[in-house]
Amino acid sequence: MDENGEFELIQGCLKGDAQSQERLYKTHYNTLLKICARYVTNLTDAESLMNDSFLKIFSNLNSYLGKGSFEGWMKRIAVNTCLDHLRTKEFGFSRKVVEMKDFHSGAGFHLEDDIIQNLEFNALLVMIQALPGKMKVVFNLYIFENYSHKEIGKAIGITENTSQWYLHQARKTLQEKIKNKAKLRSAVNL
Amino acid sequence: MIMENKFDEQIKEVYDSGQLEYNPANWEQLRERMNPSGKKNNSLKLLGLAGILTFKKVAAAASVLLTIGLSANYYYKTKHIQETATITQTQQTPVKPSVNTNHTINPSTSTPTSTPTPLERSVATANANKSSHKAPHASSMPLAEMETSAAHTFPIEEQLPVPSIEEKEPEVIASNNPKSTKEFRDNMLNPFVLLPEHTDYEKGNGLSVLGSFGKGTDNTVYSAGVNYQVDLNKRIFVDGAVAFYSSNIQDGARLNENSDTKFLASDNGSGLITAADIESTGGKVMSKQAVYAHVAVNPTIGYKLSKRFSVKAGVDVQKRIFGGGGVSYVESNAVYKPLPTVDVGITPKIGIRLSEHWQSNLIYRKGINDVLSKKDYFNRDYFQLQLGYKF
Repeated sequence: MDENGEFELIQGCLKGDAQSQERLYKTHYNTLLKICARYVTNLTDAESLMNDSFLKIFSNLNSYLGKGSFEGWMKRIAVNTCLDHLRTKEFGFSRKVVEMKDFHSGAGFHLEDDIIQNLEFNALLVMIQALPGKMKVVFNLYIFENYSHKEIGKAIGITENTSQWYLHQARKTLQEKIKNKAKLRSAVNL
Repeated sequence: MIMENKFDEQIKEVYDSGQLEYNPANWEQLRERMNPSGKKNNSLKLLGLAGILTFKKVAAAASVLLTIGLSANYYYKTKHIQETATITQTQQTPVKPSVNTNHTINPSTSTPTSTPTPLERSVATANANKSSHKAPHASSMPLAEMETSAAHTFPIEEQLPVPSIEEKEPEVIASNNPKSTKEFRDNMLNPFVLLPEHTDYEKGNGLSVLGSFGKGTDNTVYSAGVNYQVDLNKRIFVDGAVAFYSSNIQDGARLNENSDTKFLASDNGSGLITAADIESTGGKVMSKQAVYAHVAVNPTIGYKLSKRFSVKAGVDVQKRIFGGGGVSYVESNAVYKPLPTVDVGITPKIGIRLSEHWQSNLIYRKGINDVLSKKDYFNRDYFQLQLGYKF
């Protein structure tokens, strides 16, 4: 959607036009649902969080000042909605100070091209959803939302080192699962 | 953040390429949540209440208003009927048309000097029946007639003049209290008519004590205070209230004294401030409620629609006196906004006089801090039900 179309859509939503709201919803449905789906364990919860996000977007549209990307603004609301949900449902803001070695480097993690080519979106989503609570959040915020470890630490109440450790564990877990799935597939094909 | 290894890029690429199927049921659910009544609340949007009010809240407020109005109306109507019945009973007391009769109007002081004959009794009964048909009922009597109603109370005497040796002056409704007049009682039935100025009941002049409860989307308030009202004329009045408020604000965040500048600098320009930003300033995020206390001044001008109903509009200025200790922010629709130290709002009200001493107000408080300042302050908006006792 071009900038003019987006501007008109926003103006329509601000006027309370139901058609504009539905168009905006449909346009960004997939983007926001995919964000929410990564933070929970099933699609039903993800859809509920996505609707919560859209509700905040529609009711708070007048606070979007046009600075920066509109999609980015919506994504951030969706991420915050997911974090708020997890904050109240799954973990609090308690800070855990964990002294560990530096896990910042992602070196050593790699998937062969054929494995990646055969990796399906749905399978990857299920694997991400299956990651344990904070590990999943750290992975999502770092890989998809481009948060730094410092920002992640502040967002969910852990230290930078702990965030690095969670990311390391998430990469390791995912790589193992993806490779195991690839092995299983080739065994079935044989 | 720079993607630091190929694994991350590979994962992101696979995920970004995927699609989730569109489910129209989700939109229907969201549409219902945005508009529970199924109709556009354009009027509410015009008032800036969208997102704050729901249909249920409006219905609840209307129900409270209706209940109070009907209860008050029923109370006074019942009282009026009882008193009217007493008057009618008095009017129907037979009067003996006899020259030998010591004619007394007030039955309580009636002292017949002779026992009536059967003929006299039949004449008296006939006259009494005639009287009961022709005597106008108090509620149907025009106001002009009611002012001189004492002269018309006993039409028997006018229609059937009986030579009287000794007549006494009527003693009915012989009181200086304006509340005991028929005029007052009759007008009590009509909530849309102002009472004459001489009735103190109508006047609001004086001191009242107030208590209230208010509820908004993000906050709950309780208040106690005093109010003084001055009538400028029969309909227009001004009043001023001073009250202490206890406010429970949900999802508040309190920051340290020196963190304000740093906090605002972390705003990404979109107006969205995250919990992470708040934490980065050392603020403590309140997941439930933060309690604040305000002292409020609320000057108001009002217009009496009737003796019972009035409309008012005022400015509500509240100074935070507890719960400061730094800078406070409140989360609203995913945005953290600063809570002003001096909180300004407008207060349209509907006043309902319940009795001579009791009065209630239904108030909608709309914060206008963001209008008065360039800073996008948090506005405390809520409905408030106020009950006052006038001394």
